Amino acid sequence: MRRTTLLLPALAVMALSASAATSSNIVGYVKVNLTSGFNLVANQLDNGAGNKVVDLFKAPLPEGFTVFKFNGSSYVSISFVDGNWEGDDLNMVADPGQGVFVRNTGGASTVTFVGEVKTGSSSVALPGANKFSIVSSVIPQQIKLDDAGFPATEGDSVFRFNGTSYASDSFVDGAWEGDSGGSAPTVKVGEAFFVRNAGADASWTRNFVVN
Amino acid sequence: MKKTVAIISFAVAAFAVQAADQTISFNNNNLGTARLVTWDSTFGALSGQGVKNGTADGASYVAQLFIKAGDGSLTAVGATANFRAATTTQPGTWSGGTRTATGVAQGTALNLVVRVWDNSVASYDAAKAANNKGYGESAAFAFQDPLSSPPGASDNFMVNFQGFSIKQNIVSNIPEPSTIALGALGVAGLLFFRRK
Repeated sequence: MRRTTLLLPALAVMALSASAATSSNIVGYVKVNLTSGFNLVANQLDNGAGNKVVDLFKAPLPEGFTVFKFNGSSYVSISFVDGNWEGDDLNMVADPGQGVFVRNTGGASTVTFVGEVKTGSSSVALPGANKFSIVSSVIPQQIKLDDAGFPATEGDSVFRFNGTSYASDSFVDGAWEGDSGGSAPTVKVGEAFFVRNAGADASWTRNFVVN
Repeated sequence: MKKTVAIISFAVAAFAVQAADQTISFNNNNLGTARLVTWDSTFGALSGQGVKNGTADGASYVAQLFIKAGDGSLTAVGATANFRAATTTQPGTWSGGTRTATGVAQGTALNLVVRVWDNSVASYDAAKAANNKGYGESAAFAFQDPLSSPPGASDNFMVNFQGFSIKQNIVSNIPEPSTIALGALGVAGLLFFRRK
């Protein structure tokens, strides 16, 4: 699942040079490549309109294209059928920091997320007591989880989906071990992943400031 | 017609997610309840404790996953995994990862076995044949990826694995009768020369 990120350079430059003015926003887009079949996807930009899935994944979409959101124990889903969305929750949201499973019933394709990078402090809930959750980095970066301030606690596990199966890493005796060869897993732009938090309920907080 | 299209597209999607190879989460610390590998009574004071490397017995242990065929033969799946260090908070568990059963279609029902042995010898069989080398194997357990849709993160966990203990073949320090006889003969000889 190869992903490409393109933040609009002109807008970014404008934002960076605007520190003396009133705005310091970064607006851009992220292109995420979808393979045929299942993909674990993150929208990491705020579209300013509630980040509804029906707005994020726009037609044309293949018949049967389905988005699944994990609620802690099972999935709710909506599907694109006969040119319209239908299913459990048409108000389903995919905010930065969350993730959704997408079943792409067509061939390899691309989805483009457009919006604003969240600045300041943003938190992602990590329910504890060995509960699973699908999360992502709030900021669209390819980054190692320990560089992104991920609050790993003893026994936590991270599962990254590659299109057919998972690679997993666990935090044991104060260090990462598993498929990433003993280092913290690196997540890509546009990639969501499963976390099983073995500790108490926690938050993954990122503080992103534009100077 | 629409129904047919929907069924076909669903079938295509189901096919797309089914991989040619089966991955297995080769870990015993992610199963909810403790499924530990422990030392048995042949290890004396360590008996009943979870195996960890570099402890009182000084040895390092590895675990390896095998597929057990109908005829009882075992085929290794991927590399060995080390048990955790003496300082671990999770004794009895190994530091695993994902193992891939190449050529086994995802969703195939499998019988698996975990073998553990002292890493100072080359294999489980070598440890079993040696003296004072720990070895042991789990009972065969069923594994089948449920092919959840969407795929669940725990689909390839070894949920039926059960803990087990390892043992060692103790070298006897009790002298054999012939040795005792030889010793007695020596003592008798000494006494004889002393008398003279």
